[in-house]
Amino acid sequence: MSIITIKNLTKVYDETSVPVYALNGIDLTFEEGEFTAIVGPSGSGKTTLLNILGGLDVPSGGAIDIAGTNMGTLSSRDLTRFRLHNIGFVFQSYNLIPVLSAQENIEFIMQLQGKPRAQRSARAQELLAQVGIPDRAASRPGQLSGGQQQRVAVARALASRPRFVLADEPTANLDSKSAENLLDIMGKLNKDENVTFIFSTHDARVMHKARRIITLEDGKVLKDQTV
Amino acid sequence: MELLSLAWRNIWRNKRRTLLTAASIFTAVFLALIMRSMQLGSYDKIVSNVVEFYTGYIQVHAQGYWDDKSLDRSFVADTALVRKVEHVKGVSCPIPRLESFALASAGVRTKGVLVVGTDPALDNRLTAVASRIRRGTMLTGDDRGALLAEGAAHDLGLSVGDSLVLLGQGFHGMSAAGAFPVRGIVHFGSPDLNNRMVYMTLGACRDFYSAPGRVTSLALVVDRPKHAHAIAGDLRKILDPSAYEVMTWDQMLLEVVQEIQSDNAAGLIMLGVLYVIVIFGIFGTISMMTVERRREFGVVVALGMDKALLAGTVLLETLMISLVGIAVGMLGATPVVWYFHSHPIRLTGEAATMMVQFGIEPVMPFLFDPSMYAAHAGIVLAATLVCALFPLWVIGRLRVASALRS
Repeated sequence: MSIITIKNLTKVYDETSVPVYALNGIDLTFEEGEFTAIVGPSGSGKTTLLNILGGLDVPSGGAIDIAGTNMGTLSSRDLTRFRLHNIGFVFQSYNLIPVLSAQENIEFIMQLQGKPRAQRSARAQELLAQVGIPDRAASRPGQLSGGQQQRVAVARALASRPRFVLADEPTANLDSKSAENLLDIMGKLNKDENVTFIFSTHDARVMHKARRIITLEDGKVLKDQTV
Repeated sequence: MELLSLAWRNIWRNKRRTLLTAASIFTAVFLALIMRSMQLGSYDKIVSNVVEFYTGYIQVHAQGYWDDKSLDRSFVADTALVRKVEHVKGVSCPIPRLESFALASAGVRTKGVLVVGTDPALDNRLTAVASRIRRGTMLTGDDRGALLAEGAAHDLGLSVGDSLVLLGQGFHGMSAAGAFPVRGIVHFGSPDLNNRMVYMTLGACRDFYSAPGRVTSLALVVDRPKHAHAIAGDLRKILDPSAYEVMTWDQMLLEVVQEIQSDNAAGLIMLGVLYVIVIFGIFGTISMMTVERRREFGVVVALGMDKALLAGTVLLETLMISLVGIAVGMLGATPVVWYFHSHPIRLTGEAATMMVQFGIEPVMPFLFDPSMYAAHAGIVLAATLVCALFPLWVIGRLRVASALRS
């Protein structure tokens, strides 16, 4: 069952002077439970595509439908609420809240959702165990390695039980071993939690972990292959 | 509650910046309180030196007396009039007084003086004159002697038991002359009053000025001086305006009030400059914090935090820093204000001489007034909250994708 349908998506920067097509007529469909990598060289439009999919940026043209919701019809406030309940994010530079512990960072999303404290705590501990760092619950981001921080970020992305997780270059700041570990964890969570993962990367070391690889170039889909 | 904890942790993320901001706020509150308490305390002293030593907060005169202080504008304060005044809410006691000028003489020395004839016991309730007697005794009900102000006694070379000779013009041009034994020497806070006051009983004064049964004013003891204007308004309603004028202390001491207003304006300008400097400092740190945290703002909005909630959290952070700075500023200023309130600075040397020449007692007590604390805490709080509008504006205009790239 497809949860994301993209039709003729375009994103143009500097429309008034020299137009730059970051995305140029993209048509894609994502099924529930996919584990998909979006690859391509720098400037190919990977981050722009993920930003628009996540409702962080607005397209210049085309339409995105997520689980029956036309994203173009949502106000800024509705988009924020939609993200909170439907989309998880993993950023390249982790972006954990520095004053909160690992567990509090994970609970933060659920707190925004208004979930009770006991439920938040149980879910956060479960996720910390799933990403392999149950003993670092009380550690603040500054006390964690890059790999550990990104595991917390993955756990945070899943905390709200989203329909899908968008990860923009999640391994870019990690060494090879940490990058492989992270992708293994993401793959396992994809199965265990049945959550769709869409991640961008230009790291050849981790591409092969994906079950579908979409290659972008100059804002267009060059290749879409299922591994 | 958890957002409160998040805000509290956020403000201590950069301890130095938070301490700097709180220190700026502390400085503003501390200096403002010290400056204003000194200034307002001085004004209070100037006013109380005249009002509580002499005029009282409200006086009733014959119409036109204040502009032309002549005995010919005196009036008969009969029992009916006194009762009418007494029955106004807030009036505790009307004190009949007969006042005029005279030339005081002792040997070869002469000096112009202000003679006040009054009921010593009643007047003591308003002016506490008995407590200000430096030497000698208080006047009794039918005393024929006089109390002489310390400065005037010094100038005339008189002491307790000596005779004070007074010459003047009585009611309807009668000549007034008399010798009065000095019963006591009184100290007045106002240098002007201390140089020229002569107190005597109403009976002795009426005899001296040939004005039997007459008074020039009813000085009123009121329950609450802060309500003086309202009480005066009530009095005006019940007294015939063609026969009587009701004046409050600030109408009688117009020059003093104007001097205070002009000095106060200068003080407020200085205070304004202080506030502007400090507020720019606060704005600087808040705007720096905002720019540094733009990416973080983008992250939490991307994760699903409503912008309004984020703005509320940031506002809470500013509020917390402000309240810490304000509280410490108030706590820091209180012992200083309280000490100088209890132990006023007594000026000496040229500064003191200059103040005396202006008719001001060279003493600078600090005012300890909770409403002054509240006012300055409110001003600083409002100013910091205005500074906090900048991060709110940034959050309102935040474009998440662009913030995440920053």
